[in-house]
Amino acid sequence: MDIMKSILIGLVVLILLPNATLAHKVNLFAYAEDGMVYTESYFSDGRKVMNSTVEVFDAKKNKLLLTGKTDKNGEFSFKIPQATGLRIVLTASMGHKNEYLLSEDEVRDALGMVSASEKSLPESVEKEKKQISPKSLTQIYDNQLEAIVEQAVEKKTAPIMRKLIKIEKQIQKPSLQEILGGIGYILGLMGIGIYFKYKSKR
Amino acid sequence: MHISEGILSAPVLLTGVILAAGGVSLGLKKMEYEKIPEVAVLTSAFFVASLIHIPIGPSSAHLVLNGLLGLLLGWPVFSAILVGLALQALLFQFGGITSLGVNTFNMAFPAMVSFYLFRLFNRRYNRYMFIFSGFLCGVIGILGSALLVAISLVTTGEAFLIAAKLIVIAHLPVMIIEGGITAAAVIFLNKVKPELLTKEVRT
Repeated sequence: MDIMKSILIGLVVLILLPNATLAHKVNLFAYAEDGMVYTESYFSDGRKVMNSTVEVFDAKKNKLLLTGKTDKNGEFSFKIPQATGLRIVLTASMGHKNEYLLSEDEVRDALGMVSASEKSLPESVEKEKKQISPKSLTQIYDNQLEAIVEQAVEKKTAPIMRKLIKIEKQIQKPSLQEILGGIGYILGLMGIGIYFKYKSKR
Repeated sequence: MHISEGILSAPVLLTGVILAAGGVSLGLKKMEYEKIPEVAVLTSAFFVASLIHIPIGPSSAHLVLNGLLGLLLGWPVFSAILVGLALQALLFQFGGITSLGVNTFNMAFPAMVSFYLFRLFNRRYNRYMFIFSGFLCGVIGILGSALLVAISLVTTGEAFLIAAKLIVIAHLPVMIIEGGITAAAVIFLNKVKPELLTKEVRT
């Protein structure tokens, strides 16, 4: 009986230990911009992950490209090593690990490389280049400016659009949680059915 | 096969609700106490079956399993399919809530046809008849549902023959696959737990 009590007390103490129970998982988020990759890591209770190892792999060939450590803000950034998909793995204390996959499109966008869906210069600028018609100088500059601004905005929003579409696609599929939830409801109804049928049997 | 919200008119939806309610209440009365876990397991199978896609050319269809459910459960299949469809509508937005009655009847009625058909074909045990009736029940489940869906859509202005042809032809591969699955299931159950099959017909 005393052994049981001491085991129980030991378990309660372990449960009450501060760090062990607060973090259910570690979250890692990364985005690529202007030739750099910026990562942020935090535990699910919001605490920043400090001084933890980050490894970057080639997404397809799984070759280790570089490693580093998160700073006291939970951030770690690095120059893009190559124009492929990147798998970023974070290893935090006490067995927490997570990874984030940067798609090849995102990496190429940040390097300023043309991805498959990027459009070429709008036709208005192309036409202006071809014809040297007697228009006023300011009009030519206005049209070109508009075209350049449009193209710059398009370049910035294209990766955002792609990410939104990816998220939307993920929402459409029935998730595992929903399937398990549905089966849970069915089992619950079964329990209710058994209860009432049993009562009517007696 | 699942009719979505906003397609059918109110009278059709109401008819569906009344027919489904009749089937479900009959099913609840005839549900035996010992069979309730079996109903739950088959409801889960039906619930998940719609997630299994069969690619057909440009689009795809999904498994229904109503033939198998019907021949195993009998009248309680109405309750099973109602619960399965309700959860699919609420969790995955498959089908609709107002069309729940119509969809339940469209899928459960052919299931009941399968139930009686299976027992009709198996008065005396003949191995080939047994396998064939299993296959047939799977086919009837899908074919019956397709025809009932076409009838339901007639009131929206679609000519029955054209709609029926389209839906039936689109589901031909599904009919064959479901027939195969039902036959295989029936053969397996006969070896492992034959009591599940001969519910009302005791030889």
